[in-house]
Amino acid sequence: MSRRPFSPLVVAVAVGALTALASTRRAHAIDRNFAGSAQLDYHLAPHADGELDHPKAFDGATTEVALKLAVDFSPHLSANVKLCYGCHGFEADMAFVDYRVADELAVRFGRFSPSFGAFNLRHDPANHHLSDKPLPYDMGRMLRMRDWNLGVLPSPFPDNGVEVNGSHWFGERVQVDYAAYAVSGFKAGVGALDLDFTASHGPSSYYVENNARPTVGARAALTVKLGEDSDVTFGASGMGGSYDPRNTLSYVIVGADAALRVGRTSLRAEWLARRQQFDVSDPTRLKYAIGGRPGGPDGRGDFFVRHGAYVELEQPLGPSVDLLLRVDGLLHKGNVAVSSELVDGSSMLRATLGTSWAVERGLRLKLSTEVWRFSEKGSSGRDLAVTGHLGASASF
Amino acid sequence: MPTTSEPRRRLAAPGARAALRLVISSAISSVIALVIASAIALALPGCPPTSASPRAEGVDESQVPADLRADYAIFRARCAKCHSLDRPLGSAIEDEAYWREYVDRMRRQPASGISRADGDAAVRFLLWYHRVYKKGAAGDARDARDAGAPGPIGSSTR
Repeated sequence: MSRRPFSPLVVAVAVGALTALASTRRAHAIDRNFAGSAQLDYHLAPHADGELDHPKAFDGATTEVALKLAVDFSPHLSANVKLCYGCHGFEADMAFVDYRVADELAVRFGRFSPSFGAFNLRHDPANHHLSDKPLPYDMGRMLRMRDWNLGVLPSPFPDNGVEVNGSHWFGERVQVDYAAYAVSGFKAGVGALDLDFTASHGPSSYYVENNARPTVGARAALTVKLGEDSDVTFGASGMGGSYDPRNTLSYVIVGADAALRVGRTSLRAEWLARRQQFDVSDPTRLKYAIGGRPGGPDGRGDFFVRHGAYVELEQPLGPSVDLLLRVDGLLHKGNVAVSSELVDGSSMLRATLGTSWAVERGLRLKLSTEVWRFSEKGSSGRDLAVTGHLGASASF
Repeated sequence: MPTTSEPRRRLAAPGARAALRLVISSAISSVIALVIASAIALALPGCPPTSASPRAEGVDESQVPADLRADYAIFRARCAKCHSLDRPLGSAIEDEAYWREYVDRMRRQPASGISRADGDAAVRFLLWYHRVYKKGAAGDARDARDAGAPGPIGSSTR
């Protein structure tokens, strides 16, 4: 996760845009909504391995800050700009315009995270009660993140493009949501073995498409109200495209999710899988031979499949304390780089127990402990690790 | 580096013994976390909560007028599904049109589970909360309605 230098120009332009939007004269009675959040999290990871200047996990404090401004220009036209500051410095998490013809038909264009999965809607630290994200969506707080190249789909995943979405209610109990989109897609260089998430979100190769071929995707979800304070949601998502400049390497990400909410208790489950094609022009870069029957003992195909899943229970223990239990994991099937500590079939499993306290309105303390189990001991010689998080988050 | 059809380093797949270690480790670390959590929780009562800075998600239901408790229950259940209640409750906005627009925006979020009737209920509660409760008056739903009852969500501006 190499980082680009802090750019005063980017910040100045972004702050200027926010200021300009905030000072826009009111188009009608309601036109602006400003919100923000900040989280400081200390990750105690004594088993973080790797070089000191290139650790396999962050053992220390991280900060996430978000400032969001939504402007309604008319009943049908609105714009959203969200700036985030985190491990990557300042970034534009949102910069899009929504044109809504009706609840069932809206067009979004600009920079946004396309509709995929259930978690991304809650990725802001103010909206989830654990300090870190589930492993399939992890963006840097997991152990061995270098070997795994993060999870399946690091969240958030803002991209440039257009999305058509809508929502329709059948009566008062059944809600159907749908979305289809075309975005630039993830990137990597020629001859890549995996996606380059840093290049995909950074300016190193410009914020434009690297192969003139968009990634397309869609999502559909069904929500059924079981009662006044309970509902269940089922969703399915998928996206696919090519990621190298030559348009020869493809990726497909699919996911399914389910969530049950009864009163203040939430039970969530989600599964993601990414099929990743990689360059095989130089077999010496790979740990296993290519050829034969894909998946068979005599060789592997030119792709791997990365699975990720989590199950999470959020249970209030009182008016100000929530208990969180989460089990999540990753599974890698297929070839890997010869230098990688992963093998075909590598897995990691994590169990998390966490609590979240509302100290005062807008301020929460988050405390969690995590136990990790790896299928390989790796260079550290350990297949078990324990980590902890202590964080504070504020929303305003 | 020659390629091989077998990994250079592969341990046995996690079995019952590994699972037992995971469970034991989880239990130990959970106890540690709960001890720390309890210590923090015990330290917090030194600063008693107030109506302006409540130490809770949402509001004390006993403070909500009887005829608005159903609206509050809907607000709490639907809005907290995706985000903390701190933002809508921490706002200083009393304007009805604002809340109608805001709740309507939330209603259109994917899997919100907020029907138009739910949105009306949430707006009724929010108007009472910001116009009556936060000002310290022990009002009832009538106070909020007298101050300007909300129309159906999405009916006037859409």
